[in-house]
Amino acid sequence: MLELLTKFSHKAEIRESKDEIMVGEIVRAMARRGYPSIGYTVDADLQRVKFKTVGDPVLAHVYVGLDRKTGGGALSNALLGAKATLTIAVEVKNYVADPDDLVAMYRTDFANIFKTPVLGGVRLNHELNSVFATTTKLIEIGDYVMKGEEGVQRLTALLNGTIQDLRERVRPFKKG
Amino acid sequence: MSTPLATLPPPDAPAVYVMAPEGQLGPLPLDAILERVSRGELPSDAPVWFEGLPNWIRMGEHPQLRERLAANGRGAAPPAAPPRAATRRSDDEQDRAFAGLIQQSWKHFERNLFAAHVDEVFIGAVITSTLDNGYALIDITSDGSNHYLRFEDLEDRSRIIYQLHHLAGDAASAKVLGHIASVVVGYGERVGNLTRALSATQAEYKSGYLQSAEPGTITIDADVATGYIYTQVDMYWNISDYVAEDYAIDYDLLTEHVGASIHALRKYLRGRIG
Repeated sequence: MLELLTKFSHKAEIRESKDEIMVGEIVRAMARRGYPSIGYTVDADLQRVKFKTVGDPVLAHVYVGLDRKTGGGALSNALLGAKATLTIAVEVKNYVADPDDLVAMYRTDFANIFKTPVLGGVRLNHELNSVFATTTKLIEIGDYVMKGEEGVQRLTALLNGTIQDLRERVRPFKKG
Repeated sequence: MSTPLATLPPPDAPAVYVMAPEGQLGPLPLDAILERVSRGELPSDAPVWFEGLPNWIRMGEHPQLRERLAANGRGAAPPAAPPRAATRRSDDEQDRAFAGLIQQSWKHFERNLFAAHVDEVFIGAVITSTLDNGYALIDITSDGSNHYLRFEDLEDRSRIIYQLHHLAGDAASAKVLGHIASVVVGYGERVGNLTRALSATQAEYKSGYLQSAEPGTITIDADVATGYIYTQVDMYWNISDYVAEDYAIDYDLLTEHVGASIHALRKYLRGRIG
């Protein structure tokens, strides 16, 4: 058992775990809308989860990333709060590969190399037979976690609203 | 100098054996064999044998047979290719055939993908079910094959830890074993009395001899750095009981099993440390 206990880093205060608390709530909120998690990328500052949009006629996957900016230490948490960048991306996948379409998408791929994401804006990107729409939001983690059911509802509304907006942006690219 | 080959038998005498794609045939009349060659049922270099030959030879190796083949229009030269117009399909037809191949590939790909990432689906289900039991996720880490989760009840500060390991990471293994996961669940409470924590650690030295804990064996340990004492149990859960291949998840069943495990570990811990 000692081995299992050593797998976790020691965190003196719960504020050091706010990102993980939020990731847990994101996973549960997505599960409640029928989107199970299918991939995790986690490190000290960046947590990214991939969800499968089961039964969604437009979307194939949703990606949610949380990048902690401030609040890891007691002082910055007190002064600045626990700010983080929340990145949400949706993916449309066209399973039928028409060579003519692939040629057209290749041109878009090349054009997108020079685009950079803008905070609050939506970026559209083609990658082979997928089309992505991505947006980023600067959030205060404390607005959503450790606030009981009110925080959960606020997070659910944020995720649902953003995913709905992004879905409308990529809907025209879904074939069939 | 090579020995001359035996003369051909009379064309209508059933005296020739031939090695056809489906196996040895004969004895057949030579005319019947040549007719089959001309119909395309036999290759013009099929091995043959008749009395007088020391071994099987290819038809084209016998000078007389080669002449007969040439006379039948089935010499060494390959048949003329059919006109291109007859075999070339339209651009649309070829695109449709290619799209069909890709669609078929996606089905196989998705099946393999499910087997490969069902453990991640299960992690999400465990997170959801543990949150539904009143805990908050405070740690998530992985070494590639083992996934570690730590939760805390933000009111009473008790903690739950998991080690999840999917034992069948590909479609073939899953077919044989099922999606079995080795699951270690731990339940911890913070204790103010360090002596008590250290005493629990000493108890763990005994359970440390359990190299491979059997299901249902509950061990106890202290995390001195955080002041927590944990009880832990090793189990094997069938992920397929909770996650279907269409990604439908039975959260009620998993929440019940998570709750029951927490309950058992909590009862054992409180029984041990009073």
